[in-house]
Parts: sequence; structure tokens; C-alpha cells
Amino acid sequence: MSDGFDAGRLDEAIHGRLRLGIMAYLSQASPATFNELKEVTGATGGNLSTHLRKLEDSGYITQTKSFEGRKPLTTIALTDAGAAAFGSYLEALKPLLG
Amino acid sequence: MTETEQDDLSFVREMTEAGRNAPLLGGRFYLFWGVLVSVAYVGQWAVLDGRFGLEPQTIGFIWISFGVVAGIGMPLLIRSLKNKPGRGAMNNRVETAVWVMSGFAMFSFVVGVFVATAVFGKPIWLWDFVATIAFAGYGVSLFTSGSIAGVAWMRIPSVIALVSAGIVPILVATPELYLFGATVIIAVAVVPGFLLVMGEPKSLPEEA
Repeated sequence: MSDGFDAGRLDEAIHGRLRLGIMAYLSQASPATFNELKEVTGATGGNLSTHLRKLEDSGYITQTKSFEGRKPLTTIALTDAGAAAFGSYLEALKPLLG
Repeated sequence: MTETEQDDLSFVREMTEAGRNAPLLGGRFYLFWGVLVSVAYVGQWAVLDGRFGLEPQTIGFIWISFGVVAGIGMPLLIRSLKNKPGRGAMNNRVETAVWVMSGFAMFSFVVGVFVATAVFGKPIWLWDFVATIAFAGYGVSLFTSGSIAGVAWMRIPSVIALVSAGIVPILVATPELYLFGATVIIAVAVVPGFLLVMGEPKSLPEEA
């Protein structure tokens, strides 16, 4: 079973529909703005914030808050650790996908 | 695999493709520089060809105005992109990188020609070769941006620009060079810029 699917190898910080979606998008387009992620994932602002915080706490993303004129602008970037963790997550999924 | 897991995987694929296939966002820059350069080139042709009784000093005025408009316009254009989705996509990062470095090559050549003509008294027609560097820069940048974004039609203006770079030496020291240059710029910057702007996603609303 060593080559089979092992659910224990799935990173809990990434495992979850919205967090997976965020990581998948950022793996192709980083940095992205908060509104960009909100638009592309279809999540509500509150839900997105919660999941972004989880990913940030794991060191997989960074959130930078700034101002453009008087409007706030949150920019989210995938970290090197995040890119590596997402790659490992996909590797762990491979046996399941066949 | 359960239906929910399959649905989650489709969602992940959708997200990955949304990031990978982000449209190019450089269209407004192509349009801006395209209009600016073609107007300046037509102006220079008019002066060199003796049209409208314009004095040779007008050329200096044209290019100083060009620099002022470019200096004001670029920061505004960059700011106008802040709410466009896909700025961080590989397509757009490569497009930015290749155009910035092409611009650097053009700027470096312009400075070199300025020093050569103003300080060392080299022939004034050296300025004409700026068009060669510009067209080569346009050609390489269009091809690279189009290839990475999978926009096949961008190869057409790219080839036009690269072939035009080779035509410049034939037209050096003639007023027609600038009329030719304006036509090329319309084909390789204004038209592609318009098409790219038409294909851009809408700006997202401001963050609350």
C-alpha cells in the first residue's frame, strides 16, 4: 500500500475546498488581490478572510494591507513554503486520481 | 472517489485554469505608446519633409512634449490596472518583464545617440536607428507575450515589427523613414493594443 493513497499525507492546512481553490489560483497567479480571490472563488468576504488567515498562519501565504489613495488594498502572495506544500499535496493526491 | 471529492477537484482545476489563462493586461500600454510614437513620427516627417513651413527646431519640441506626456501618462496607466484581475499571472509578469527590458534597451540606445551626436559630433542620422531598436524590441516583446499567453495572432505584428527593423537602414536619412515608422507603429502597437483592451476582464470593485 506504500504506493497507494494515504490520507494522512494530505496537509490539513490546505485540505478544504476553498483553501485548495485559493492555493490553486495563487499557484498560477500570485500575487492576487483580496477582491480577485473573492471573485474567482465565489466566496463571501468573511469566509475568504477566515480561510486566508488559516493559510497565513501555516506560512503558505502572506497578506499585505496597503492603501491606494484612500481605498484599502489587500494583496495575497503564495510563499515558497506554500508552493512546496501545494506541490506535495498534489503529489499525495496522485494515487487517488490514478 | 465520492461526488463531493470529484466536485472539489473540478473546482481546483477551474481555479488553476483561471489563474493560468488570465488575459494579457498590457493593451493600454501598447495603445498609449503606439498613439504617442506614431503622432511624434508623423510630426517629425512633416518637419523633415518641409510640410506646413515647420522649422527644424520643432523636432526638439515634439520629442520634449513626447517625454512629458509619457512621464505623466505612465503612472496613470499603471494605477488604472490596480483592480484588474490576473496581474500576478505568469502571462502578465512575463509581459511586464519583457517590455520593461525592451524599454530599457531603447532608452539606453537613445542616451547613447544623444551623447554621440551632442558631445562627440557624430552624424545626426544616428537618431534614425532608434527606430530599428524600437521595432526589434516590439517584435521580441510581442512574440514572447503572445507565446506565453497563447495569443497566436500576436505573431503577426511581431513579424511585421522585426521585418521593419531591417527596413529602417534602407530608409535612413530620408523623411519617409518617419512616415514608414508611424505606419509600422500603428500596425504593431495601436491595433494590437486595441484588440487586447477589448479582451480585458472588467476591473473589480474597490475593497470595502
